[in-house]
Amino acid sequence: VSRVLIVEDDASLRSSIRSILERSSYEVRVAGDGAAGAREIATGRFDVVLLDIGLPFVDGWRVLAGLEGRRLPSVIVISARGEEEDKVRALDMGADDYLAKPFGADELLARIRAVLRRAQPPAGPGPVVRSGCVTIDLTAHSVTRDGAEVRLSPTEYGLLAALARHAGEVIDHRTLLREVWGPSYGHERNYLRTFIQRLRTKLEDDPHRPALIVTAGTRGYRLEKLGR
Amino acid sequence: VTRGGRPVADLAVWLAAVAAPPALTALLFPLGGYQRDYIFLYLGIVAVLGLLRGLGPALVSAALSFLLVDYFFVPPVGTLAIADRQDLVNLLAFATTACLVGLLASRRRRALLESEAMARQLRDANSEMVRLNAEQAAAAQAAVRLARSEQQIRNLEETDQLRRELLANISHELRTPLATILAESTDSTGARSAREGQRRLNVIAAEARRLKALVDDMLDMARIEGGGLALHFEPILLEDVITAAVDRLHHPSPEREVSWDAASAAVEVLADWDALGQVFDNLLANADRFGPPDTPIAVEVSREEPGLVTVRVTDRGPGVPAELQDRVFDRFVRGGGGGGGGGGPSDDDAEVGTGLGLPIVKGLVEAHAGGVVLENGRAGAGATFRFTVPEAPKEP
Repeated sequence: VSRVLIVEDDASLRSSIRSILERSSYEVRVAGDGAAGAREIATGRFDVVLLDIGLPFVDGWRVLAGLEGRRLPSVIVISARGEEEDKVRALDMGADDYLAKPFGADELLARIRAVLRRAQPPAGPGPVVRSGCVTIDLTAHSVTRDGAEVRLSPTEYGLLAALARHAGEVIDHRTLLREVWGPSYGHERNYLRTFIQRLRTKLEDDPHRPALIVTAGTRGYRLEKLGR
Repeated sequence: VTRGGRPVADLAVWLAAVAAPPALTALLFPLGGYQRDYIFLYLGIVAVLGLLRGLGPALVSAALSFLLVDYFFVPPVGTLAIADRQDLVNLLAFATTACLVGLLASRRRRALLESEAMARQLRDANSEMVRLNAEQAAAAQAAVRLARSEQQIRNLEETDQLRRELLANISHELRTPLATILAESTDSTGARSAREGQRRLNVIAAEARRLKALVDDMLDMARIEGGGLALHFEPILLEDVITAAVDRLHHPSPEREVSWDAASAAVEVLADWDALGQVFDNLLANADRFGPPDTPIAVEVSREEPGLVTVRVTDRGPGVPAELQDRVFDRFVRGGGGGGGGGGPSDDDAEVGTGLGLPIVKGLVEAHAGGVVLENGRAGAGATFRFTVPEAPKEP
């Protein structure tokens, strides 16, 4: 059973989301403001957090900033201001997905399924991929750089794993979005741009002149096979 | 002293310097023995030339005069020789005097020229100063105009910023109930029982009512801020307003006790019936929302300022958190959770305000020339809102 935390200040919406999720057999906890949300998250018992950005007392942005560098949970930001800059900012700050109010129940459930799937990449053994000073162990789901572990969020890892399974080949945007985010995605290039940039910041020597994760023109991205 | 046509004037003066002494000599020659009495006339020539053109022509005419006098009037006449010692002294004195006159005259001329140049410079400087002054005044005016238009731009930008924030807030306020409605109506999970269907319909209806209340309050707010309030002021018995407002509160909250003293409320105020009723409605609804169940709301009426009636509405709730005290009258600022606070998972049924109730109270009270403030932390009480309304004029 996957555990979901709802951090939403509006009681009606909180209660609606709660009953929708409970009927889909999720285990649900709720928090009414940012401070309570942060306390719940700190217990570390959640797979997914639905985080409203416009919270009283402690801003949702601050809750999100406090989650930087986590492995879990996946975070879906809910915002009543469906503006592009908010979306980009949320993704930049480490959210895994973004949902603008109002949204339908089916859309909400699809997003939750998608982040859960990303957090549990295909089971079974996979190769260990090495490129430059970065090592990606597709079995243990671990990434090291110069021997030190790199902490990646579920979506960051999912994207890197997708590139690593086809190291040396170009994967186009659509394929990457479908493989990592899910079958209903395909046009969200800004998601890709944001997450590629985040991976570069964590893995590249110089994120502005990437040697490892290379942009292949307008087609897609490629993980280079570099010798040591 | 002349100016302009310089080369011609120069030539004329030099000609005069050469021609005037011989001409004078020609005039004096027929006088015979009395010639020497008129020799001082040569000095006049020297002086005039000195004044007109400076030292050069003066000296030339002086030298020429000396030679002419020596030749024609000093014995032996017809030669440049001088026979008499006395004549030599006289001639030398004449020459010296001529030189002095020329020198003085030319100095006088230079002084005149200099003073004229100085006067010209002064005139130029003066007109330059006038021009600079005018420019400076123009620049100052331009600076004032610029500052004024910059201020206008800043004001416009501020207004624009406020409007955009307001729009974002309104969008936020509308989207949240819409999200609940959309989520409930598109949920295909769970049992499709009649009871579940009824529950969803109830949720959707409640959210639709919330949207309606929000739109109503936004329109009220727009009327208050846009000066579109049509208030009809008349003497009203405050007691009647309170009775009606408490009745209205008891529709949604029949259990809530409201305590108030009829004697102190038997006072006439000058107000608009509907607007003052709305002030009470909003304050009572606010107190009802934050007061724990089974605690009373207190309404107190007093006379603290001449010509004004003071009303306090007090709940037994948690009071307004310190970080919100400055902003309770701002739009879309709400207290947390409600229903006794805690913000925990148990308050799912808590009623939510529109976030416009108190701003509307403030707007309406101010339209009555009164004021409203939050009195927090009175002993044994939660939040107290105190407002004033003008007393009706006494009948003569």
